[in-house]
Amino acid sequence: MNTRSSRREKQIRPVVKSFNCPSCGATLNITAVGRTISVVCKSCRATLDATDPNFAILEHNAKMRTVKPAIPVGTRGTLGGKMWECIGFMQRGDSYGYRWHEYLLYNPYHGYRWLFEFDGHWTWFKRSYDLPDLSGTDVKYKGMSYKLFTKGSSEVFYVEGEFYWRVKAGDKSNVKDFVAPPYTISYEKSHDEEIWTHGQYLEPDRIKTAFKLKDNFFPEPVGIAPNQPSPHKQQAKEAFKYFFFAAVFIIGVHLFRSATALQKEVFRMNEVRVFPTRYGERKTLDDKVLRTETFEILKKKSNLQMQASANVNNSWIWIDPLLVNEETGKGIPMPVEVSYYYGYSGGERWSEGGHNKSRVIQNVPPGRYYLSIKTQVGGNVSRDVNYQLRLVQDVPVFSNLVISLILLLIYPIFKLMRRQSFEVQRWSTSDYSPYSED
Amino acid sequence: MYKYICIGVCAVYTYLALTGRSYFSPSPTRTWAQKGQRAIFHK
Repeated sequence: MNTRSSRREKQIRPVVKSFNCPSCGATLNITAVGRTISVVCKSCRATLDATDPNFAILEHNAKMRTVKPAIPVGTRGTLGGKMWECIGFMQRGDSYGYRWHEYLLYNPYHGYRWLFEFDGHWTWFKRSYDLPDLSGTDVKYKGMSYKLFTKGSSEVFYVEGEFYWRVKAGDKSNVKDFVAPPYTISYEKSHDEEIWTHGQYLEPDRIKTAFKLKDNFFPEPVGIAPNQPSPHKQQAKEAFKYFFFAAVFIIGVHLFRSATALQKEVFRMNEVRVFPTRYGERKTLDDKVLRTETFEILKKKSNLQMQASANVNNSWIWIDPLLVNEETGKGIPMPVEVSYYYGYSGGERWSEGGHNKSRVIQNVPPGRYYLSIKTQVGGNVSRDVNYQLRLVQDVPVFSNLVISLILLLIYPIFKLMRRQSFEVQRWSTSDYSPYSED
Repeated sequence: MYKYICIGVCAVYTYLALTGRSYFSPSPTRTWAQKGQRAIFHK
């Protein structure tokens, strides 16, 4: 903030011109002397010509319904480090019944600004003399692209205070609003001029604090404003940033683990034949227990992966090995089912399962082991089922990587969905919604 | 908040990766092998 300018503002005593309303005799003031073109009488609502020495009556508005502004005309407040006085208030609306409120703010050193209020949402507007680049339905302004949000006509329903142009109830204009939250740019065309104004969303509490407004006349925000910044946008961005770093770390650890893991085959058993059941199809065959030769597991406290494969076809095999420590006689069960089904139904081929299956058991102590294996087969087992077993010590567990990444993704995806839902709700009142299916 | 979830998941993943453990494989149930039969003596 410019300190010198601020001190000067505190010291200013704007020249106020007082006069009597030629319609009702009430005493009226003009704050922006020399700039104000029209004044509306507080008492009789007559619109007066401020440029006329006799304050000619431009319009009698005695029947105009009174609207109470949230910021009363004459209230001063500090926004952006500058003091502003509300000198004019208008209620405008469209043919659909929407009504919004516009407050004209004035500072003798900084000119005019507008505060726009709709459904309790506020936007700070300043007239733009840089014309935006019109391309298609959207516009570009100072390097940013703004999307068309509304287009239509508006009418003035109520006026109060003073204005730098002739304004009265019933005035009509064509408007277009373009948004790039938290910014908006508006185009307005009346019978004698075209103007562009650039606005920025302001939190309602900021207005309330700036003008020291009381709760009872201050509108509560309803719904989502066209240019209201999405709280989820930044949060989703942050979440994906953290996800990225965590994913890089986890993938790095996985690659390191894959490169340094022993992945040593400690046992292999090929082509073990299981005969089909003598009881016919779809019956389970309980085979004998098979004991393998012994093998050694060296590394302390490592995991052990069992890889099983079988030539099952529309059938299953249940391989139930017990990994037995030769010295202690203690066993670790490692059951695994290999099943594969396929067919043709509903005009489509389908398949389920596969010929290979693996499982990992963790924390296997070093020692000499053998396998004690029982098998069962079922399904369409009209011919022999062969299976192979392989034991590999110290393998990286890929499922850990997948599960970790899925766990990490839950929050960013949730935030992304919230962000999307916010945008859909924002655009639900627009005829130009990018989310519309039409 | 999410930052700490990321740190937690990374820490858990690193522990699992370096010890050869996995999320869903508990420590194996110990049973006794006896003459090819499986006695269900859980430790």
